[in-house]
Amino acid sequence: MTLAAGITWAVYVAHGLIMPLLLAGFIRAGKARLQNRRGPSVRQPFWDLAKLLGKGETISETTTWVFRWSPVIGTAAMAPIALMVPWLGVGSPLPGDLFLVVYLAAAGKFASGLAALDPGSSFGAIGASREAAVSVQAEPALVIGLAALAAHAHSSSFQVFLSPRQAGPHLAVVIPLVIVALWLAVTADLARMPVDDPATHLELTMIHEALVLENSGRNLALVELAVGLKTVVLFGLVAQVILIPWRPLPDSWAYLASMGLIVAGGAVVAAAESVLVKLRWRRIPNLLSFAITAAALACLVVAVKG
Amino acid sequence: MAFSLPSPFFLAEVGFEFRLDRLAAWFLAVIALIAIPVAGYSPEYMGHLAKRADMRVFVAALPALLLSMVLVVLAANALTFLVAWELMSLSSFFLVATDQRDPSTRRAALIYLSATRVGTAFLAGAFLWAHALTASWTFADWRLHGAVGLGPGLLLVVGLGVKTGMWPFHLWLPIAHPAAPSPVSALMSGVMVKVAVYMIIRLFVLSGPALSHPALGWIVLAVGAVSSFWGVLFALLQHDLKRLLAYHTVENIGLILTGVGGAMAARDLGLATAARVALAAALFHVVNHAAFKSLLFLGAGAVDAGAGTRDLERLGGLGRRMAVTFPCFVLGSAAICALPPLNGFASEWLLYQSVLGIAGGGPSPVTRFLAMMLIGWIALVGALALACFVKAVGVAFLGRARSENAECAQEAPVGMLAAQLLLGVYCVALGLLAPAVLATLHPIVQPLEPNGMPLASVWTLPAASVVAVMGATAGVIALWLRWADVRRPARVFVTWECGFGTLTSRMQATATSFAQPIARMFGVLYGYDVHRQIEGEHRRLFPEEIRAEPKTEPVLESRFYNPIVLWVNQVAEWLGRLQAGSIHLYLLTMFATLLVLLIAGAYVR
Repeated sequence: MTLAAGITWAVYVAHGLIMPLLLAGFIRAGKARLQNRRGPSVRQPFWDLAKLLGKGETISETTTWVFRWSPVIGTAAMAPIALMVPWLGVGSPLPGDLFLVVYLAAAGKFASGLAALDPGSSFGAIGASREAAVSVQAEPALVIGLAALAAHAHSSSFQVFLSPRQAGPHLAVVIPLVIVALWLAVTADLARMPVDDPATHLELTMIHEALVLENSGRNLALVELAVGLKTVVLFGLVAQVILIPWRPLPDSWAYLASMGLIVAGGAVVAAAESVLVKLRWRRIPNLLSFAITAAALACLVVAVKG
Repeated sequence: MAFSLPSPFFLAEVGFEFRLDRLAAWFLAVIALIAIPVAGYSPEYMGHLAKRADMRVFVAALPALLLSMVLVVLAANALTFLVAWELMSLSSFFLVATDQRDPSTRRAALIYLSATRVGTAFLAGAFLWAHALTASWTFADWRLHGAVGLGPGLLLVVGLGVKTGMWPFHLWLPIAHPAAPSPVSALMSGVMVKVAVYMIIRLFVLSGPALSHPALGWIVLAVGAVSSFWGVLFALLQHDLKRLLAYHTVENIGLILTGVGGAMAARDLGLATAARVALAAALFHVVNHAAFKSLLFLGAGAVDAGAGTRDLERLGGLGRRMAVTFPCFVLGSAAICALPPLNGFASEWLLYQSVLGIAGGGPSPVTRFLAMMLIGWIALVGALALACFVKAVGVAFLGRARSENAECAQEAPVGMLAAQLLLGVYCVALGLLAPAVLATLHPIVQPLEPNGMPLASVWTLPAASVVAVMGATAGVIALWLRWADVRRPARVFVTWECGFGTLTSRMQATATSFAQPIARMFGVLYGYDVHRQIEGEHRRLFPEEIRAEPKTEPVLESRFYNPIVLWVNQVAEWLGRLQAGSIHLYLLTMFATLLVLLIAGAYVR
């Protein structure tokens, strides 16, 4: 391994460990500020995680090995994703592929869905069923949106299609459409507003929180770590799409811009969760059909111009 | 390599001719790979059926099915093929009818038999047509390209399509496959439907091809895409475990046909690389689907034998009682959902790559746009399959037992477990050794792009690094959990019940309720509706009893097939008048037929 490769690995691993918690803290602090509360410090998620890791764990007597292993598999599936998506703006340690990343994320969903059904609680099942229904709509939007870029570049490799050789003026139309599609799909996939409210207190209205209702202690800490990592990686991916028109960029600028855009994404989420109301469950297909339509329009432009 | 039977054995004009090439060898390997675990599984499984069913038929028909599948793959001319094909249909019919005391099995067997008759009628028509055009029964002599290829080609697609279970000819498949004993379901879903796919590849894609027409590729592609979606959509609604798996066969055959049709379409568009990758994806998915679908059917058989039911609404909590079947079933489910690094992912990734090749390089905007939409379509099918298998595994194996049967479920005996473990090893090995599989496939798909790069060069994924990172992460976390568990063991307590006392098994989600959000999303295609009956409605917010029952109406059956069946019945009734026993009428009919034939013979020549 060369020195440069070693540095890339170190940068990605370090950011993958720190950024999820920092972003979560930033979103919480931002929400508190927007709601005229003082709120906890940005560092609070670190203390929360440390507390969860040290706490005892309670598991249901109905569960099997699936329940204990699901967060391990979820985190293990997220780790290569964070190393393949160039979410920090600079080249990622592993060559990434769109479809591999999507199906690795699906592996995490498979594990968490099974873990939710394991304790035999109806809350977990509601969460798993709803999360599956949301991802049936969000996943095609994500894939079609990125497929427009991939078809333009003739490759499903992130390294290739996120910095296309010949940009072409029609990308000025394609990229905003892809960003809209991605953002809607990503927020739905991450169970943020307006699809799901992470701060809700009623089990019946939850999606993601109902899914992990039975998890506690170390088990819950792993789930939160994986979700946090997924959040920053997906925000970073959207940031890379935004940065396409400005490529090629020097590494330092790309890195700074990516970090800025990830934080901006957090700010948008904080604002959305302060001003928006959660959508009624039956209205979610309407929202995500916007995402799919935007992605399909992007494909249409690429197909006509490509 | 070609060989034929000695002269006493011959068919009207030609002998029993066989030929073995690399494509046939690939399918023979698939048959053999699946036949071994199925053979190991059968004795113990059939032991539990022995009281109800006649074993003599089963023991005779199972080897006949295996032999006939081998002969179909080897057949070099249409007549040899038809003989072997009929042997395959009949032997599998007897296998479906093994448990014939059950009226629903008898009905399933009859439906299956009639579906095979329809398929064979189309095939016979296609062969006669092709023979009329080429004056040869040998597949290798057929060169029907362009407009002449369309007619026989369409008949062939329909005739073979009935056997593969492609939409809209799939109706018999979810009825017949679950009715057969589980090892037979595994063979039929895992292998037999692939034999029909083999013929499509042989006649339309490779060795010549024998037939081609620009429309055929698009037809196969479109029908494959619709099948994949339709299969998974209806699988979601099922609560019979084997029926659910049978609908997933429709889905996966759809994906395979998408690859085959994509290969034909891309070849016609001049996209040699995309065509080659699409065919490789289809061939790879053939063996992958054979491995995980057989695994899942054998697992369903173990559930059926151990718990006495395969109705998901009566299962639950089997994971703690079936310590080997459960992880095997989870592995098979993960593989069929195409989760990396298992085998399903490898072939689906190739399929994505080929479609992306068409999306990037297609000659017209319409082609490119449709290809991009197809990528999203496959992603949608993938997300639905994931939901369906979370449901199937979660409701059958996790949570609490929903019936006494499930509570007293027994793990299967050693032979049945060994068969599942072997198939599980296939799923992992085919995924991890994907580059080696591609190297094997290279000479088979070479004719589509004679001077292309080695096929393994398409495989650009950092699969080894990904597996290493996953393993290292999981290992570190597991070690740490071990340490933390020793220091502070997890407390075992009841599932959270909001403080209201014990939960019962009826408070869990059922298979129906888990699928409800998605079922309503696609309700138009199902005719999905929830019938509510409220008693004591005058008490406004406190009624006495509320009953809600979801109803679905299979649109294809009610709108398309039922009218046809009704019409056939009416015609049959009308024709029945001729059979009233009047000898004058019979003589008149014979005379009229002779007259028509004489006139036709005089004028057609």
